[in-house]
Amino acid sequence: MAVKERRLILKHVDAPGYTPAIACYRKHGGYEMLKKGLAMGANAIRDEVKKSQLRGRGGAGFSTGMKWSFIDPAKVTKPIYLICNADESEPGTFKDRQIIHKDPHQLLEGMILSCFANGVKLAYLYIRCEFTTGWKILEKAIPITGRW
Amino acid sequence: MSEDGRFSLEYAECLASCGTAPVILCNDDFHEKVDEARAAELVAACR
Repeated sequence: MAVKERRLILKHVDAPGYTPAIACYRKHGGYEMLKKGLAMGANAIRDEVKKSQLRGRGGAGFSTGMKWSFIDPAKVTKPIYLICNADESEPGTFKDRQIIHKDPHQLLEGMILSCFANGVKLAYLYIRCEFTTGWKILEKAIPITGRW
Repeated sequence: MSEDGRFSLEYAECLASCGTAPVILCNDDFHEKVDEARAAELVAACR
């Protein structure tokens, strides 16, 4: 029996000529969600994420909405930071690398949306130095993100 | 460490490539599905 694959995150990466470049990402609808999110507002984004039951990509599959609810930006007096864990390192998995290598702007758009939704002004992306292909791609993508 | 001191061999904890092993990180260059012949080529290219 053939298993039918329904792609969500890696929906576009096998389209002919797909590259990690921002122009390609935008051609396939990239950064439209960010525009939508900025217009919706932080609270609306947090509600939507909670309703969606989205889970993180870590081994625990922790509810993203729940994690975000632990900090209320309206009540916090100290800065909130976002840390993106691009360490991979879970034995047998190589799933995050797919996004980093093939669609880095999706990762960045997600980070920006998350920052906006949670009152975060400074985000860190931790990637292990051994992922040379990965950090080279991200180093190229990150400065461009801020300029379109 | 090789006898002439030009190469050292180390283990990496994770290279995010369980699916394309064996993999080699040679300085900052990443190589996947490396067999013995390819490994020899890579070493030769470094000389």
